[in-house]
Amino acid sequence: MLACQMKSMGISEVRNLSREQRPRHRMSITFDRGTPWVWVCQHCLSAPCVEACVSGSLRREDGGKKIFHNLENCVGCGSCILVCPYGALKYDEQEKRVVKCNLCLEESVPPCVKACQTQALVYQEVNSFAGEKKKKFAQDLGRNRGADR
Amino acid sequence: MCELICAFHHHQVGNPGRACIRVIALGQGEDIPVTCLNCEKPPCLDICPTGALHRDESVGMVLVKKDFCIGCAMCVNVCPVGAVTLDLVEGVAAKCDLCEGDPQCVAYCPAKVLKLTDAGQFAKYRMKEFAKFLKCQVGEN
Amino acid sequence: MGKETMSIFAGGYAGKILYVNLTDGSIEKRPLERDFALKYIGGRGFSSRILWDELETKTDPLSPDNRLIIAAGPLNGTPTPSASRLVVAAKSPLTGILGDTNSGGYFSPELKYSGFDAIVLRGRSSSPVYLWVRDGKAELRSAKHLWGHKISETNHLLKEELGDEDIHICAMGPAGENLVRYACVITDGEGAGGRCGMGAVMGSKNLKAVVVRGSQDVGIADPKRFKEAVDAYRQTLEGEVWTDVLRRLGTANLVAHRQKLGIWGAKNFQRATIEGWEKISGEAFRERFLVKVMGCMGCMVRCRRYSAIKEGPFAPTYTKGPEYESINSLGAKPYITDPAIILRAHYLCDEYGIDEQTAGSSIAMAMELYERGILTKEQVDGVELVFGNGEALLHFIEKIAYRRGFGDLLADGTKIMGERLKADYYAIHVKGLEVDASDPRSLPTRALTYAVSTRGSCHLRGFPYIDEFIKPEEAKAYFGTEAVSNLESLEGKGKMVAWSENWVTIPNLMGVCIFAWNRSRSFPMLIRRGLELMNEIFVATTGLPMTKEELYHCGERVYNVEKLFNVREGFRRESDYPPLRFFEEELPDGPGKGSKLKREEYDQLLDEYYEARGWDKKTGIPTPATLKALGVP
Repeated sequence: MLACQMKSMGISEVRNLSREQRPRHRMSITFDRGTPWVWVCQHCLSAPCVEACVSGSLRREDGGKKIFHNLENCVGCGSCILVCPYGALKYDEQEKRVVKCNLCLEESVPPCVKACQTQALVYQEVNSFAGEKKKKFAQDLGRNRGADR
Repeated sequence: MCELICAFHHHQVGNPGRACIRVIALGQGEDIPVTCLNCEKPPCLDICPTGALHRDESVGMVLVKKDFCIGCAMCVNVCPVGAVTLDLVEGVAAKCDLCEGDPQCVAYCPAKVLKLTDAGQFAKYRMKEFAKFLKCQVGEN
Repeated sequence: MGKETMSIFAGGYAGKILYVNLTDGSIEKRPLERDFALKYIGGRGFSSRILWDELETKTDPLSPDNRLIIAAGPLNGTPTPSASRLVVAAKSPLTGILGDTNSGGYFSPELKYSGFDAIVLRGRSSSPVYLWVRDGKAELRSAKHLWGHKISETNHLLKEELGDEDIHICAMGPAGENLVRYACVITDGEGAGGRCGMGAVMGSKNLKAVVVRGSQDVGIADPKRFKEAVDAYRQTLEGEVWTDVLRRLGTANLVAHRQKLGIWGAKNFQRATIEGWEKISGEAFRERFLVKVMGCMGCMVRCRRYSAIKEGPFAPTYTKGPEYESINSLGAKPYITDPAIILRAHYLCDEYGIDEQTAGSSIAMAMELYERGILTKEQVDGVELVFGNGEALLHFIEKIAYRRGFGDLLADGTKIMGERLKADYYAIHVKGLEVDASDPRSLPTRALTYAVSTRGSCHLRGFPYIDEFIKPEEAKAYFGTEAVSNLESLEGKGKMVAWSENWVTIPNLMGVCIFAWNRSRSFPMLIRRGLELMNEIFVATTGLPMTKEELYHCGERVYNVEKLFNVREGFRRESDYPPLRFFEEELPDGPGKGSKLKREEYDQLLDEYYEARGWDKKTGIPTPATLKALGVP
C-alpha cells in the first residue's frame, strides 16, 4: 500500500513522504477476523463499474482484461463506487474525482507486487495462476498415489 | 479427450483451454486429470461477492450463475486446486458443473480412468483394495 | 484472447495460411479459399497442391526455393476421435520427388488453436532462427543458442525461453543441421515426421524449430450432428480387435505376424524369418521395458508406448516407442535381436533427428556389402560391420548425425550409396525411399503398393490387405469380380490397390489417424468409418457440402496431383517397379520360401492399376481425361 501511495505521488524515496501529503487511496488493507485482506481493483472481466459509469471514464482495455480509469474524464458521480463489491474505487476529496488502481501499466510489474514481502500480491494471468495450482495439486496427488500401485 | 469433450459440451467448440478439466502431465508418463473436487465447504462459494456461485441441490455441485458473475476472479484466486477459471470469451467464471449429472469426461475417457463417485464410496473402495493387499501379504490366516 | 475475426468457414478451418519467407523475414497471413478447401480438404491435400503450384521443376530440395509445408486438417482441434495428425511436406532431398510425413501427438490441434490451417516456409534465413506462432501472430526469433542441440535439450531451452510449458514444438536435431538426407522432424520430442528428409530441408533453411501455442476456438458448424457422428464412431469400436491389440502391444504387435507369415526383410532382405524373434516381440517389449501406454490427442486407441531401459549399459534411457518400424529397421534389417540395443538406437534416432527406417536400412545395406567384401574394413572406419553387431549400429547412428567418417556416405541413403559403390542391387528402395514394413516377394499386391506410392516405397499410401478379409459378394459389388477376395488370384488387385490408395489418402487430408479410422477386418466397416462417418463428421464440423463420393474423389485428386509432381520431375512407369532383388532372388526360408516376384505377373498388375487410375499404360502419366474429370489443375 505504501508502494502504491508513493508511486501515485511520484515519490521514490520513503524519506520524501511528508505528513501533510494525502495520497490517493487506490488500495487499502482490512482485517477480517485477524486475516489481512487487500482491497484493490480486481479488473473484473464483466465489471459492473464500467456499466455504471456515466462519463465513460471507466473502460475495458487489453481485450477486456484491464479496467482503465481516466482521471480527466471522471465527473466524480460515484455510481461506480455503489456497484463495486470490492471497495476498489474511492472518492478523492482533493481531486473531487474517483480514483482506482490502473495497474501501473508503465511498469513491467506493479510496485505493490514488487514491494510485497510475502508474495501475497501476485501479478499474473488469471488462468495461468489456476493452471499452476492444478499442477501443484497433481504433483501432490502423484506423490501420494503409492498405495494404488 | 476429456478436455476436448468438456469444452465441446459447454461451448460447442474445439478448445481444451476452455475445459473445466485439465490433464496435468508430470513427465515420464505420469498424467493426472484435475477438476473441481466439489468441496463440502467450498472457498469459491464463500468468497463470491455477488452470489453467482451457488450450490445447486439437484446436482449437489457448486454452479455459476452467469448473469450474476462479474468476472472478478476471486473464486479463481481461492480455489485450492485451481479448478475454477475465467472463461475469457464469456467473461465469467467457469467450473465443472458435472454436466447436469452425466459427466461427459467420464463417458468419453478412452482409458476409463475417470469415475463419478462420492468420497464415502471411494473411501470404501480404497479400504477394500487395501484389505486385499493385506491379505496377500499376510497369507491365509 | 476472446473472439477472433470471423472466418468464412462455419467451423473446422481456421481460415488462414501463414506464409513465411525466411530470406527476407517477411510473414504474411493469407486467407484459405473456400474452393481450395472443398477440393483439397487439408493436410496432405494442401501440401501436395501447394508444392505442385509453387515449385519449379528440378528445384534443388536443399535450396531456398524448396517449400516446407506444415499442415493440419479441418478436424484437428475438434473432439473428433484421433484427430491428432500433422503433415510436414517438401520436395525430398532423399528421393528428389514429393516428400511428406505424417505424425501424431498434440501439435496439429495446437496449430489450429493458434489460428492457422497451415504454414508454408520458403527461402533461407541468413542465421539460425525458429518460428514462434502464438494466437494469430508469428515472429522469427534467433535460434543461435539452440543450434547444435539434440531434440530434448532444444525443447527444454525453448520452454524456458518462452516461459511456457505448454508450447508445442516441431524441431530438427543435429542431423538436420548437417543436412543428413533423411534427417527428420520430431514433434514434442516424441512423434517423428520421419521419412523423406524433412529435417534436412529445415536445416537447409537454417530453421531450427516451429513453435505453436494458441487459445482460439476451433468452430463446429452443427454440434448436434457432430456429437451423433462421434458417438456412432465410438460404437463401431466395440469389439474391434485391432484397437485392443494396438493398445496392449502398440504397433510392435506386428512382430509376431511378420514371423508367422515369414515376411521379414531381415539382413537387408536376405532372410524372411528371424531366429530369436521372441526377444523383440511386442510381448517382450511390453514385459521388459513398458512404463506406460500413451496416446495422441483425443485418441481412443492409445497405441503409443513410453518405455525405459532401467538396467544394463544403456540405463537410464526414457523414450517413446518402440514402434514396429523401429524393431524392423533397427532390429530385423541389421539382424539385431537384443531389444535394449534396438530401444537405445531408436532413442538416439529421436534425439539426433534421424529417420530410423532409412538409417537402419542404410546400415543394413552396408553390413551386407561388408560381408560380401564390397566394402573393406578400412572404408567403414575399422568397424567389424557385420549383421548382428549392435555396437556398430549405435556407433554409426551417431556418425550419420554428424556426417563423420563412413557416416558421411551412410547419411545419403541407400540409393546414393548404391550409385557411389556401384552396388545398387543391394540398395532396397523405390525411387530412393527404402522399403519398410515387410518383404513383399510372397505378396505381389503389397509389392505394387510399395512400388507405386507417390513418395517412394511406402506401405501406408495404400491398403492392400483388403483381399485378406473381403467377402466374395463384397468383392463383386465393389471391384467387379469375386477374384479380389481370393488371395491366390491377382485379378482385380490393381483396381483394389488404386481404390485403397484414394480411400486411405482421406484421413491424411482430415488430420485423423488411420489406425482409428482406416483399419478393420471387415470391408463394410472400412466404408462405414473411412467414408461414411468421416464425411458425416467433416460436414458437421465445417458446414461445407460434401458427399462421401465427392470425398473419395478428393482423395483421388490429391493422389493424382502428387503423381503429376513426380511426372514433372521426370519419373515414368520404369520407376514404379519394386527393387530388382525381389524379382531375382527367392525367399530363402519361412512359409513363403521359394517365392519371388514374377515380371510378367507384375507387369499385368501394374497395367491393371494404371487402367483403374486412368493413367497411360506405357508411361504412367495421368491422361488429360482423368485430370479433367478431377478438376486438376
